[in-house]
Amino acid sequence: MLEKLEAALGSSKVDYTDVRYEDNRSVNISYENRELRRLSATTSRGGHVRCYTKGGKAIHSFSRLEDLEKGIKQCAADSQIAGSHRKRKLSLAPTEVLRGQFMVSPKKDPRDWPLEEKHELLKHYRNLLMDVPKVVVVNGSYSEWYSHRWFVSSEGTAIEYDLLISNIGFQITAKDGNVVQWTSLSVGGSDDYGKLLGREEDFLERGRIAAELTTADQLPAGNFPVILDSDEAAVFIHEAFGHLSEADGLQDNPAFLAKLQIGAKLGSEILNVTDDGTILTAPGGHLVDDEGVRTRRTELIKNGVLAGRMHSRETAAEFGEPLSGNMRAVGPRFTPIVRMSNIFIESGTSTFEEMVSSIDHGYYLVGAKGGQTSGDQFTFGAQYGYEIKNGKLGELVRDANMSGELFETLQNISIIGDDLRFSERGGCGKGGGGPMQLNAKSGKGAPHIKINKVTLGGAR
Amino acid sequence: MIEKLLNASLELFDDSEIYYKEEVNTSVRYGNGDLRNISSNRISGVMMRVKRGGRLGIASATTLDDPLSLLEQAAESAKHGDEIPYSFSVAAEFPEVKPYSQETSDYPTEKMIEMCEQAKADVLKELPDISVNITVEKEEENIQIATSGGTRAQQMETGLSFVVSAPIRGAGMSVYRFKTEIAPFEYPEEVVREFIRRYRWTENTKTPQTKRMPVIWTPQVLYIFTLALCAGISGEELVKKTSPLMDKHDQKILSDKITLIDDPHSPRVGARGFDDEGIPTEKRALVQKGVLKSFLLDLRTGAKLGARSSGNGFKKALFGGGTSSMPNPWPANLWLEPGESSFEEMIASLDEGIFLTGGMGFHSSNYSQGHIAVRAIGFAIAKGRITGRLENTMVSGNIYEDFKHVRAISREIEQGHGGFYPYVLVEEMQVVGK
Repeated sequence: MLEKLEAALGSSKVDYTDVRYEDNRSVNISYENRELRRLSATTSRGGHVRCYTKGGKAIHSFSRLEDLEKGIKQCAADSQIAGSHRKRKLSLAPTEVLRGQFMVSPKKDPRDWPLEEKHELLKHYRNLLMDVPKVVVVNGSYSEWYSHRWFVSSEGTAIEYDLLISNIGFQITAKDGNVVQWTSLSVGGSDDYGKLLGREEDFLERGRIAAELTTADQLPAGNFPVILDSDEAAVFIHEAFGHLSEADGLQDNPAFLAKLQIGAKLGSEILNVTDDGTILTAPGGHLVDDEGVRTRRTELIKNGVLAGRMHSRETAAEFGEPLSGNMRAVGPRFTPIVRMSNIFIESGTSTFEEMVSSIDHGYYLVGAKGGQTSGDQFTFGAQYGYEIKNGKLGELVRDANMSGELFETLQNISIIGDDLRFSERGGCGKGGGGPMQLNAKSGKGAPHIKINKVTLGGAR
Repeated sequence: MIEKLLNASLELFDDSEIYYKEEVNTSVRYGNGDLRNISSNRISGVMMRVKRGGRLGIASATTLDDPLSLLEQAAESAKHGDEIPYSFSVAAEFPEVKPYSQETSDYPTEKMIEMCEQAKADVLKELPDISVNITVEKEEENIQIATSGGTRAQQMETGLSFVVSAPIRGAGMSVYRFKTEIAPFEYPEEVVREFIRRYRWTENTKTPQTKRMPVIWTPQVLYIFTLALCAGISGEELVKKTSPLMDKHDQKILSDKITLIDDPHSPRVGARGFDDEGIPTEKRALVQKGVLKSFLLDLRTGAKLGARSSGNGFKKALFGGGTSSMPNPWPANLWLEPGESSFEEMIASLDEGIFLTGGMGFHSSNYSQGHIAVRAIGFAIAKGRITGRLENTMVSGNIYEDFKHVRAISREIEQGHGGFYPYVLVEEMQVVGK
């Protein structure tokens, strides 16, 4: 494949051209209660071309390998048009020329397990959850994604690499009278099938909580101090801060970038945030990115001060900052965009008990339930929470959705726990100016944290 | 190619369905007033569903070039698959819709650049120091569905779209306006003018008091209401028995000012003659004067509920969707009936209130139950005037309570996500601010 791509590349006469080709295999099994909704092992193939001419850029995706030469031709021609209109010329930061293979080496490779066993494992967990009182719907899925990729550039890079991830996830819905509540949990999130085994207690706990939520009080609306569990804190740092550390989002927003200069003080001295794609056991682990740059560790916040950000070769050149290896595409029809690999808040020194005892009236929010960010505004849900009164954990509460403003909230992080954990669920949606790309290989982690004030949009 | 695959599958399976889609598109994207890139795609996708011994099998790939592998995938899948209580569609007459324009297909890249340049010049003349983003895109889609029951459905669609946006100074969030048509249009000066007008409202910020107050839902954000409602009337929730509207057919669930129609046939962007399972689409009221009139069903949920598909089996989802996903009940193209009021009159009528142009975090709400809690993107209104853009504000409530009390609906209709909507003034909702 590499020879074929390099030969096609030879025909391009513009300043820079690269081509990525993918051969992907997915296994998906999903159930709703006892009904099998999907069982499939499918393929998808296709390629993507990028050209730069005289500081202008064009990109092109194709499905059929026979369209490779035609695609390169069209992309090259479009880049010439772009170059003739682009005023501030684009360039690429220099990178090491790579050749060779960068392949996964799983402890227990999910591809070695027969489909039947994966199917049985999923049904086993489902059966346990369906027996939890009040649970009315159990949606479960097994997903496995293997992406075999080849990348060549006109600078001489020619690499073969791959990505592999597997997960089992459940959404558990409980009902009591008219009250319907759900919780969810996903395990795995790496190339190690072993992480999917023996997880009965983790799933059952979430099932029992879904049932309990049907009789829990609704969260009030208002401003409160909160403790976030590691899952929620991870979503917070991913959504609220992480996306603003992706340089492509700042490229066209100079006024916002001015607030995010390296050296800007964003939080208290206890706050340290890092993105590290070299952690291969977390969902965002990988060896090289989709423009042939090696993965690395990037300090984003050091002692409360902005220390670095995630880049493409183009943004690294534009910002005059180091490469980070974060340019990734989720499939052949997409151009790579700057993505977090594994972003996390580094462990602090406090215990969970210290945090709880510091709060007169507030909430402990547990379990990620999706989030969204736009500029400095963020919002995300919690699967459930507990009231904290006079320094003690109290009753279970439901329907928790919180929001805030990034800079204020970062300053308001007052205690950081000593119990860093990575979420086993990847997943992040970002358009980056193009179509939405849902990336399963984006990880996040955090210890428990206390935030002095957030807005809760409860229903009470 | 499709016929060949279908013929081969007839020998292996009792019932087969092939869904094939080709997409060709080109877009020109300006970022911060400069040409960011020119992007093009020539892509395809195929999904097969089969039945063998009553069991469902699934296969998907990007092209039809390797039929053998598709058939093998389908056979392997059907070995494990569950028995399904429905058959794939059979030959039918489809209503004639033609959301296609050859001129859009032929629209030259240079003209797309000209449109961007013109918009950039007009915006920067009025707002010289903003970072303006403009995208012009032309799209062409060809959808084909064939089944062993005789369905032969094909539809070509085109769209030309124009989007202008700019981040609000120092905040990162954007103001945007857009236009999409089936056929090419001249430079949309009115869209750019309205964008400039709205951008000027962002200069001041306001955080309202925490209390219940009137909320104007603009066409750009009404999808939050319609998605929550459509989750409630979706066959998915009915089968699971988790819909809050289970026993509410022919009952009043919303204000009598609300009439929501699923209208796939009018010649607008999004028109469809058949759904993604090859069932003819139908125009029908979902809610008529506040009364629940119909549910959204696909083949599967229809069969489970002892009804036929309502022609609403689409490969759409809140996130994801697409060729290789399973169809599920989804509205085709929504139309919320206009009223007598206007956006300007609504603003002028309010002593204190807000209007929403966006809501973040919708998917984290318990929305299938009608519950909404979102970060409010929009503007504060005091004494009939816009006083500034909302900061640190949330809106929360339940559509089945709050949308029972609608004070006014506008005459003007604009394109939003999933359909076309007027402005809706809701009597009061919980606003969380200071």
